[in-house]
Amino acid sequence: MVSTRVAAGLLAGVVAATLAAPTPALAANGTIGQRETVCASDLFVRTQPNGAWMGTLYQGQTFLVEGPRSGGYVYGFAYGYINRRGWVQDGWFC
Amino acid sequence: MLRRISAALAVGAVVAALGATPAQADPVVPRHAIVVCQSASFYANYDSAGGPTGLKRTLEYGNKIGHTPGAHPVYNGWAASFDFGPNDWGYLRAECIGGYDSW
Repeated sequence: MVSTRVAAGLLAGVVAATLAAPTPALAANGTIGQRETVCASDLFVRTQPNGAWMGTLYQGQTFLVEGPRSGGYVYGFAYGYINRRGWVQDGWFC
Repeated sequence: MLRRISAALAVGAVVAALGATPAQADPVVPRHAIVVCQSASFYANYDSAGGPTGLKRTLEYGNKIGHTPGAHPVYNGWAASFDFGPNDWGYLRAECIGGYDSW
């Protein structure tokens, strides 16, 4: 009985901690053709999927999703302080 | 038994917390190099519309940096580079990078 209660309490704590954390569930994949806003605090722009760093987009800056998608990355035009095309990890848009 | 459940829940919570942060681990590890200018401005980004932006700091001769020719872009003489001091990315003049694989 006691152990069931303790386990239930721990489970509730874990659920609460998970919900309280900044979850990526609030961010979403980009839609091709849309100029999306970056929700992550910073998002690396790369020369190719999983490739070399070429710039950083910050929260609130925008990325025009042009496609294609590859390996969890999506291609498009990075605005902000970059203003050229590259690949970003998908799933970090508001 | 209870201890096992607690441990499993704790591990789950840590994994969930780690999963909530943006993954910025870099898959392309730059080649080791050093700054070969007496001083070199290090900028946060390179804006194709207006040049380097966001001065972060000034690097000095001998500072350990990283850049992989052919992989990391160079725009108008400004090279995407990694500062092994604070461990962050930015741009500095390509001619200020030298001593590849010297450390």
